[in-house]
Amino acid sequence: METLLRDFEQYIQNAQFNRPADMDRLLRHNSETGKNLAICVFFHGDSEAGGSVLYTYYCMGKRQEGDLETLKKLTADYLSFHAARFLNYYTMTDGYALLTRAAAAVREIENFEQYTRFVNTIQHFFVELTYWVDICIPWDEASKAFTKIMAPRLELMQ
Amino acid sequence: MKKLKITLGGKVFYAELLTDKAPKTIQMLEECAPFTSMVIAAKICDHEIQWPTPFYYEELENPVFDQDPGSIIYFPPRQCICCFYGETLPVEYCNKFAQILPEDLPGFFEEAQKVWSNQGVHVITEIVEE
Repeated sequence: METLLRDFEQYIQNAQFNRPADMDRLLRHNSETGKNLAICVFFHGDSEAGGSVLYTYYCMGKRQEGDLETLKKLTADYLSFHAARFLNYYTMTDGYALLTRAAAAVREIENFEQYTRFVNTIQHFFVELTYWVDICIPWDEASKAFTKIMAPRLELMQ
Repeated sequence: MKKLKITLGGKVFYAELLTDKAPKTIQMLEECAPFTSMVIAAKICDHEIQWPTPFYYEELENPVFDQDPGSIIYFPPRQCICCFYGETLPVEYCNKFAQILPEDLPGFFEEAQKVWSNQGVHVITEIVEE
């Protein structure tokens, strides 16, 4: 568990100023078919949701709300869900490896204090990646193009 | 008196710290400042930029829903500082801990507006004695 949390912390620390290699993999994925915008937008949503859901779990853990075993089960399933998407949707193999280990490590947690620290660390991981994918998406240009494309369609809908 | 100093786009802006209303948030900030972050433009709210902080504080402190131009808040779920620099339709309660000085707001507005098309520019957050 300690090694795993250190590995997450290392990833987060590196990501504070250096673009993670996972982000390069994400940007390249589906670029040959011209569908990498969808990949980035999907990941933006996933990472945003990941941070928010884990924040809710973190707050529950901190307040010792609910049953620890239920929280652990929910967390393990949620991390497995994201791990699969990191690999299959995004080819973010470093993140996939960490999340897979995390999903398995949940069972080692013995109390709310350990649970809170664990979830807090992984929540940071998601938040950090949200910032990275956010700055990789050309929001200004993409929004202008989207507005231009959608304007006639929206007119038809009125 | 201590003030919040924000360097964005190479320009410096100051904000009043609401020490009486958000002492814990300011203490956490002071413990890790100065720090440099990458700033992004908010996607849902207009006239808002945000950047991550190295600290984590999950409690609500001086929660404010309506945000005036110049309002600076800490948003626990994303461990970030958000600055509202113009009219905004808010979506959540956030911990308000500072307010940009009125004389600095027009310049801040100008720099913050650029973030939408220049995501990831660096911002330096400091607490200084004035």
